[in-house]
Amino acid sequence: MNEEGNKPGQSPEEETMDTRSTAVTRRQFLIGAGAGLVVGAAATAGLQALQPAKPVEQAKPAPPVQQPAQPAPATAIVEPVSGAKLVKLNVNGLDYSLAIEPQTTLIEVLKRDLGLTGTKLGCNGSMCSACTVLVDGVAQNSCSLLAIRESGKKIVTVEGLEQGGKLHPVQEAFWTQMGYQCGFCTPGQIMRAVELLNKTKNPTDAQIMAHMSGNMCKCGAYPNILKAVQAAAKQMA
Amino acid sequence: MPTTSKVTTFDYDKLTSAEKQFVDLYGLAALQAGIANAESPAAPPARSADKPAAAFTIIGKEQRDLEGYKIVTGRARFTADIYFPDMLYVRVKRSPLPHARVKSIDTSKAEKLPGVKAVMTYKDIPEKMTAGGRPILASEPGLVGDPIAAVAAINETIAEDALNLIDVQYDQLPFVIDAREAEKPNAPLALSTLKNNLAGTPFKATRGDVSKGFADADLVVEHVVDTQDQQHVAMEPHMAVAKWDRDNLTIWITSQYTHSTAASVAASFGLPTSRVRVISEFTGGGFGDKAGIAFPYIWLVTLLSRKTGRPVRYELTRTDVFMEATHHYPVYQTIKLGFKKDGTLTAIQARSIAQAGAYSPFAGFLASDTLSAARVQYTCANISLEGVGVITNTGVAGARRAVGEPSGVFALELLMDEAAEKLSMDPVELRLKNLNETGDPESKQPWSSNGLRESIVKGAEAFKWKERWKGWNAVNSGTGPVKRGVGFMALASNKGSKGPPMTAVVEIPVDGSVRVVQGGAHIGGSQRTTWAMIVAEALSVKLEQVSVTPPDTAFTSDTGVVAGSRATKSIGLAVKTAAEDARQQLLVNAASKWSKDLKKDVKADELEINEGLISYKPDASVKPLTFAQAVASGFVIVDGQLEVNTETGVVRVLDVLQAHDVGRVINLLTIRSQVEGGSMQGIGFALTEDYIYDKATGIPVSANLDDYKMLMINNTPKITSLFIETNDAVGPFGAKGIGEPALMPPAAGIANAIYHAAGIRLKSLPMNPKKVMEALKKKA
Amino acid sequence: MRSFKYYAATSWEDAVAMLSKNAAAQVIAGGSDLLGWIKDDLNGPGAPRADLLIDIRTIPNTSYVKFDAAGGLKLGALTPLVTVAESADVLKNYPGLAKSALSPASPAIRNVGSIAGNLMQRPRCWYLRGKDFACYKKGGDFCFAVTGENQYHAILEGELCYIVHPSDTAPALIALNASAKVVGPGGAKDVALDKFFIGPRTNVLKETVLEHNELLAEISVPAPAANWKSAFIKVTQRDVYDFAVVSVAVAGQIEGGVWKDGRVVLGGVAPTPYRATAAEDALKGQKIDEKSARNAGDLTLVKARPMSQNAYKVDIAKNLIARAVLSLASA
Repeated sequence: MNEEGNKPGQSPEEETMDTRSTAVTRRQFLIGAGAGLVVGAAATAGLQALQPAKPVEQAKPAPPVQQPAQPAPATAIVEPVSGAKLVKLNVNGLDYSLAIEPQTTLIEVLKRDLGLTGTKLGCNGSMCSACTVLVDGVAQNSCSLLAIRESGKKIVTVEGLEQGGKLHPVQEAFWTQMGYQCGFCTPGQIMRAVELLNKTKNPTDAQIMAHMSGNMCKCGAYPNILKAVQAAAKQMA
Repeated sequence: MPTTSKVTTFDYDKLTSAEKQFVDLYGLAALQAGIANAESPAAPPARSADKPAAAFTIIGKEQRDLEGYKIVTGRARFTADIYFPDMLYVRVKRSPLPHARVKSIDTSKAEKLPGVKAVMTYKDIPEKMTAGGRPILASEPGLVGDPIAAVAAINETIAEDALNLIDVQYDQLPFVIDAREAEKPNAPLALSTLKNNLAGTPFKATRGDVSKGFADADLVVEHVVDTQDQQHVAMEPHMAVAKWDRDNLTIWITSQYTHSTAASVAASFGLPTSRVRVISEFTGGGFGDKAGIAFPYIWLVTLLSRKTGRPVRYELTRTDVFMEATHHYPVYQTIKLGFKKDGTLTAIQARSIAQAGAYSPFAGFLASDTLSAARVQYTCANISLEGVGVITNTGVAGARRAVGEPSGVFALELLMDEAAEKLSMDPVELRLKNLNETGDPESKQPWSSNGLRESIVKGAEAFKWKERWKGWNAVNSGTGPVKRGVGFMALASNKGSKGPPMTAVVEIPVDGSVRVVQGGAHIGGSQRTTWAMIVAEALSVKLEQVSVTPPDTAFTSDTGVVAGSRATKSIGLAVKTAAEDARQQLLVNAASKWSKDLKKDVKADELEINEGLISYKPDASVKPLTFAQAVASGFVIVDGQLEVNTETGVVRVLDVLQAHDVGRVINLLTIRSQVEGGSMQGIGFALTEDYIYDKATGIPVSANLDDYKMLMINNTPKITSLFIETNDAVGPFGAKGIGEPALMPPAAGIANAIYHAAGIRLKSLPMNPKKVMEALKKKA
Repeated sequence: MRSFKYYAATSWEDAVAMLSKNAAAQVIAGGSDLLGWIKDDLNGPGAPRADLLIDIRTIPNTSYVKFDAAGGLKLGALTPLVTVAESADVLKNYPGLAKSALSPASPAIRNVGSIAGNLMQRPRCWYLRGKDFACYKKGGDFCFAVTGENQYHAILEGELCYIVHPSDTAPALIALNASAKVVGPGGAKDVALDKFFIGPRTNVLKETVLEHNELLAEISVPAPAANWKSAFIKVTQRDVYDFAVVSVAVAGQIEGGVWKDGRVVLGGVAPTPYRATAAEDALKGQKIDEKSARNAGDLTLVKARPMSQNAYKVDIAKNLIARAVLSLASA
């Protein structure tokens, strides 16, 4: 569980820089500065570029015209800055090495630094579960996980479900049964349902409701969410 | 018997622009009969598509959402998903006091924090610039949570650290939290600019002679009812990203109405609207709270982006949302009804105090909407209604799904139930006896469709009302601690048909596909799918041929707000009209082509379109043309069953049936989902959701999702929806709106069922264990 | 979230040493409560600002459920609630505990939230959790609940401060006579869970006997004796994400329908989990029926001192005790 990120026994006093007195020039190289992704080649000057653990695939195709540019996936890594530590994450099958500050949550890394915006933040307090992702197969609220504590874990987000152009049965069922209205809580609902159906074949309605009970939907699409999980369960039985 | 009636009217031309907007969006002016609603015809017009339901090829079926792929894969781009590499993040320091004057602000330490790019206070806001009357950064905060200082930094952590370095000193001012207190002549002024706390002229409506009505009555019932403060809690928190490109401004915002934001921001910054682009591709819920309302945060990101020259993003925290966003306002009501022995209503008297919060631009209209049901739902010769909106140092009142009607109809329908018992009548019969089936009693405008009687009769039948109700003797007759009961209510809603001029364009590009250019939001009702279905039906093309644009003010015209239950009816009407126009142009083009090709005079009305092919009716041998070749208010009843645990006070709703006159079903999948979602929100209104203020300090104590309790999937009852198709006179293919009517019924239905189960009448929302236990104790 | 530093502890001794060195350090286990506390930026003498988080999840072998019929149950401090709730040994031998571990918060929180964290979480009082209320626990000199919104506050044993204890597993474990293994600078010691929690009259700034540099490392529950039964009931407004309006845990030795011995513990009614000794004494040797069960509830609440808005909790607590006691007889 302890990768390079969490060097056990290393006292924070040993760190050379205090977060608040970090040189601005260095910080400005960072996107959002939560994780140390470098914007462009020029920014690496003076900082040592590391290679990711595995070759990283090319950036996703640019989103449609009306979208602003998204930060590309990690192509270069900087040394940890201030309180940051080097953390390895496997997200949707790709390995990343990232310099991450202690207060940075997993959802911030996913959305802001890796451009995986499918995961949604609803309350930032573990009270709605819109931010649900799988961490080593267990559904967790990514808003309340410190990313540096998740080093070495396998993360799956809603973007990681579709395989070879084929939707996951849970995605297909949420679409067909309209297990949503506005769609904002949907990625979290889907990840929660995937966790259930991965470990429970043919769940009862009571099991589905208990398992899905933490995922809030203010539109109130609950009856169709139940139908969607039932339909997906049939497909996956 | 001739009756005279008088209803307070508002001089529309004297309203502020924000008030006009609100009146327009929610059709509230129509309530006040003095303002003619140009859209509602004096008599039902000939119906444009008066065909039986079976004759439609696309509408009326279950159609899965055309945007569903994006939603289930996480590709749907919400405002929350907009990031730029050089973007700055905002955090806002908010007032801890409900009413105060800022004595001093020291931002020097915050400005020096590495990573901070801009700090703003009220001193940095251009003179006279407000967000629709609300301070962008306040020097005299009027509620806890008013924005005081804003920081833009390279990440949210630095911005938050910077907030702690800002020192603000206040002079405390007197404040008032409760509208009933604020209404009194000697109450502290909620804002120093006010002369008194009353918002506008009180609303009054009288008809006949109410004292005579009560004198003639055999039974008089009355009660005091209060409904709570709520926040909408759309799952996507309020947020915006602003980006200036020299003198062009782009704002991404989570919104139900981008064009409204573009217009108000452009006016405020002195820009032509053509230079302000507002985009909201997907909107994560709104329920009225994102209906183009001017919020301080929109101006803040715009100002901070202009100051720093970088894109600026402000994603409000959930607590920020509770404090800055609008609220479904508390209403304090007294209502009194008079009846003859046979159940005939002889008099209605009601007074309603609406707690408007600070700054509400809509304050003057809030109380009147709570009285709508009392004025129009039942036929009654004598009424006297009064409503006042009162400014307080609390969350700004706005519109939540059906605005004031849910509170008003709750009060009315509780009392109807109580009256039915005292008259020894079936509550269903009492409603049927007094139904107003003709139209607005004051304006004399007929209902655009009228399926209320049919909804009640068929709904009661489907629910097996008689069998399950068993008469008034069955009240509180269960044994054991958990008691079951059923309840009934009826509702005639004014919602879902009005609005400002709407525009939409249906384009048929050279390849023959169909593109609907419109500016309405996609926010939960699969709106883009609904409009595609309407266009496909109107053009007789396959649904797959049709695409619908997201709202982007650069490319779309003002289609109006997606709120007020108007997405289907009003916007639907706009896209249908546009489609019909396109259809006519296509046929004229095709006729002219065939006139040349066939060398004879082909007329447009000799042509027809089927599944995207244009054919020449007189001669089947002529090969059909494809487009590519041719181109160059709702009514409702609800019944519900529930159980009340008399040892714990916990109420569990088991079975809900809503029957609605929907005019015409467009997408069966969506409309059912709207009723189910509305039921859930209505049950939350009835049982759990409660935004509570500490009275001594004015600080809200439930501004988070732990203490503000919304219902989850394991509190979902069985929900049945019954749709009565009456072919509305105005809506596209006879359809009308459903979003708002679906939320209103549960509260009264549940309260009446609690009485049936446990013999207690609860008159205060939410009906939580505390109130149930207190009522049981009082009864014992 | 604001900034802080992070340290991954390698052993209990390491964590204790780091705590001893850093007055502004806080321990992070599952983090569900602590991160909310930091995000809300709550500070004061009873709520020191955490500038350093000491991770104890990085200590090896801290998450386990061990059971044997002679020695009873051992729960590692970092064991997720879901693991406790789904353990076959717990379900079979301590059904009341299993149910209590299944009732906090939501499934996702139970996936990450630890058993020790559930016991150590801070109270949910909305004045304590409101940044701008300088209440006793945050170093102020006032309890806002006394004159304010107190519908969820204490009906028993309130003094100065009227918080209620929020944990569901605490009443269940106390009913089972569990104890806590506490590690500190002087090594390890056992503390009966019954004596683990302290109320405002002992120290208004904290809720347990633990000093700043002491940690809860393990929970032990004695092996169930013959004819012991346990149950847990919790009243909430909704079925998830809700702290108890009132909860009750009972564990008793029932023979021939007679209450030989046992414990009745309430949650959500007092600043600590409340041992209903009046009920326990009254039940001893009694045949369990509607009358004796009701009597147990009524006697317990004689001492209740409700505030302006929370008298309804008195009735619920009475009813709940009766219901839980009766459920043991019928189980």
